[in-house]
Amino acid sequence: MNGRNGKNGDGPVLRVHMGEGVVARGPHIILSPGIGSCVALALYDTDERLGGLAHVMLPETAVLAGRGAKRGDGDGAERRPLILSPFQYADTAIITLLEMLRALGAAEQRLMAKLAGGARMFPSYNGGSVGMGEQTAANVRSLLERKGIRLAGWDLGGTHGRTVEFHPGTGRMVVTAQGKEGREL
Amino acid sequence: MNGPTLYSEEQLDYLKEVMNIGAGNASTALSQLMGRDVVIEMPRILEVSIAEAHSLFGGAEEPVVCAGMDLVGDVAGTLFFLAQDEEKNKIEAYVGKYLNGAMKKEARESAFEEVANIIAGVFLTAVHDYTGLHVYHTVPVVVRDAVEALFEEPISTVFTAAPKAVIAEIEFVSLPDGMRALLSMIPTPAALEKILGSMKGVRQGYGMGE
Repeated sequence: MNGRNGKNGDGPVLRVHMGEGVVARGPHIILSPGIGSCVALALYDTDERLGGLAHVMLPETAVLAGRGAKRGDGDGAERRPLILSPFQYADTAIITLLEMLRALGAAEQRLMAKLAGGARMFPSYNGGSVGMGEQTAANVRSLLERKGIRLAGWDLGGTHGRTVEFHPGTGRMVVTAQGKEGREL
Repeated sequence: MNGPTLYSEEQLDYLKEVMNIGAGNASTALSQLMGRDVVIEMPRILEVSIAEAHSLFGGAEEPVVCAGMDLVGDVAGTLFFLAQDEEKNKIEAYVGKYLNGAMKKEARESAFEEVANIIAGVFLTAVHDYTGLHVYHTVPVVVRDAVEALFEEPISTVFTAAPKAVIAEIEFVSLPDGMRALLSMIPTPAALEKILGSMKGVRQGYGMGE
């Protein structure tokens, strides 16, 4: 992550890369470029003008273990996935983001979520089975549902990368696919 | 690169050697396909943590053309053949010209995929001959997108089993025009162990054992 001043009077820009997450108040902007199979998970409380974004790499470890070792290891052995960052897996990413937001005064019942990413960059990979990105997206959605957090917008799946610009103060999310106009969620 | 490395200098040098041997054969094939000289640059072996992974791409959001393949057999992982738009067009034009216009438009459009297929096959055959490992690749799928988005899935997969991802790259440069294309291999941690495990046999085979 690094900060720089935004244009047009917007606040500083915080960049969030793979396995990272950040919480900020408006008018900051959180930018996550080059999202492929990962999922950008944004949670926000507009009353507090507070929001956060996590660049989630993979589904929760239990789901991941269920995928087997098809693409993880060459030897078919099942291993406990390594946890290198709180934002690496869906479940810990949501818990961590929630804790950070609560610590800054967000009320869980007011929180809303927006999601983008979860693409399958190479359409024929995995022999037609569910791709890692789709699985991460589905997992994040079901975890949010279980926590009773309303999903206010999403742009998931497909076969293209995305750049996500999130405005934590207002919950505005602009998703830009390669070579296309930005789409506002 | 920050933090401790997982692999010794000797191991990473050996990986460089494997890449070099594969790339030598691949560059000959590329040269024949394009009808011009192709040289390879010194292989790059990059070892990155999660926090460092994005630095591989330098924040580049410009799209690249990428033929993506899975590695299968003794070694699992991902193999990418990458080029900028302009370079991809050059490759297709050279291959088309070399084949003396025999290629139809559709064939020319899939020339990049064909080149990737041939390069990967030749590269992996050389890796097999050197290491004794059986490695094959799936049919290439060509896409055009931001490089960071393309690498996310293979890199994310590596980080489920190792704290560092190793990416081995070889750059091909054609002469005299300087067309550049990149072959990038992202082995899974288990696959990398297998490749490094072949070092002893290779060293002994060459009379270089301990």
